[in-house]
Amino acid sequence: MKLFYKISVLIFFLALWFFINQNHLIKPIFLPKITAVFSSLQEIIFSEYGLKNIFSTLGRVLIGFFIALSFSVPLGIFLGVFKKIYESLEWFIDFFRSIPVTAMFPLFLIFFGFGDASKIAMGAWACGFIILVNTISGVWNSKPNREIMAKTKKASYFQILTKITFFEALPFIFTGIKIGVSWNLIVVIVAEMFIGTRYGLGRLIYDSSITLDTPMVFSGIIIIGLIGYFLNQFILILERKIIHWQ
Amino acid sequence: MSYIEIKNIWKYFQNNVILKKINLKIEKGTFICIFGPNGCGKTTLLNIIAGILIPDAGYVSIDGKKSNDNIIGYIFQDYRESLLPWKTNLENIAFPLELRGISKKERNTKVRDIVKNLNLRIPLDSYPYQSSGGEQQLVALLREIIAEPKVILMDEPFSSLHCKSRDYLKIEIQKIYKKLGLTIIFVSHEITETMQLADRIIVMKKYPGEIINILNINFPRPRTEELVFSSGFSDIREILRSQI
Repeated sequence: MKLFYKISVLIFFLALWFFINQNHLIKPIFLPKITAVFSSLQEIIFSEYGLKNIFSTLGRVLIGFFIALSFSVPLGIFLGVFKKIYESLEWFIDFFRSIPVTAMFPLFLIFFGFGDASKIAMGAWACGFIILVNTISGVWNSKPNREIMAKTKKASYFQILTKITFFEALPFIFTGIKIGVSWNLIVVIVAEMFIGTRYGLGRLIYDSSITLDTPMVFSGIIIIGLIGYFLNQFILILERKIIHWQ
Repeated sequence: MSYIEIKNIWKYFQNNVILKKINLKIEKGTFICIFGPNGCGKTTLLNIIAGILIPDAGYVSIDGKKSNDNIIGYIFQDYRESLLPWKTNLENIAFPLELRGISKKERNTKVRDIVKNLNLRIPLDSYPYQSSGGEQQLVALLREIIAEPKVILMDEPFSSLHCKSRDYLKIEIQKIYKKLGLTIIFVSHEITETMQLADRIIVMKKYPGEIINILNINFPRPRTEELVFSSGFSDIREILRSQI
């Protein structure tokens, strides 16, 4: 039934678009014909050039995400456990996570150059802070009785961290991952548009907009939407499988 | 020297005396109930015995060592917050063995053996959240037993259970206690459950928390619900009631 409603919404949306096209309610330069968008989509999906754009963006997002994950989770657990260290660093973390990463474009360019590294680093930066803050909250929300139980069994500090604290923080880590991945995608697309790159969906949209190729702009946007949607769905499936107790 | 010796314990919180001059000697293999009203310092005393809290004066020794140097079993009021929901019941019971680096195969065999020996019915391959409250508390108890602790401390372990699970668990705990010869210190403010379980009841009062009486309970085990209606039981219940 759920699928039926989902498909109904899609059909309604496409029908509305078709209706607008047919009755010339909006100029095609602003809202292109569905058929034109579909042929642009085909052009992206079935051409080497199009696939290179998709996989370049996806690759940057994923590499940035894994870098963020590998830094933020251990650091988040560390700062969550050592509250005094966190308290002295709190202002620092809040200061940097409040700055839009796009405002730091020039700094990333200076440090990482014009290549992929700067785009990946920007995505990782944006994503990393979100995962970090959520991991810290996860550690703080852990049940003290579990730690006490492990201590009475003479568990080492490392055992408590890896066998209890990490799992306690997992639901929050996943919340951070879900939000962080979306932000990572946004930042990578924006970076591709403004820093520039040979391949990437951000670049594709930007170039198409300059040549007023609106169907291609729409196709690029649709593909980004689909990447974001499926990444989120994948994370949700993973979350349900790993955090089965929630 | 007694197996567990609690010597001249004092504990303060923000200038209030929580525990005043607690002295207690406990022999190996006895079931002790610390009984008293809410706020009399029962859980604080239990935490001091476990080595989780440090007393402001006095000491606790278990089998001739400081409590911190021993493996202690601790069963909490809320089993949901002490079991590890990401592990199956079997893995939860085996957790102390996992901490000691014992292989998975050996752990599993040991858990299945102990469940079989004690004739318990626990869905070992299910997760705690798929099991009843009574089963979860039994899992918590077995996890403590498998660690072979010097003493098992129980902090009102039945308080968040339904009456059916509570009755079932009271009988099971008595059987396990007898069969394995455990030393148990049980905290409760329920008169009936205290009398059903204890060999010795330590009665405490509050403001400040101190021991006001020690009663020996000699009813035969297992002490079922029928015992509650016997005259001997009523007499002791009246003594306890008059002291709180």
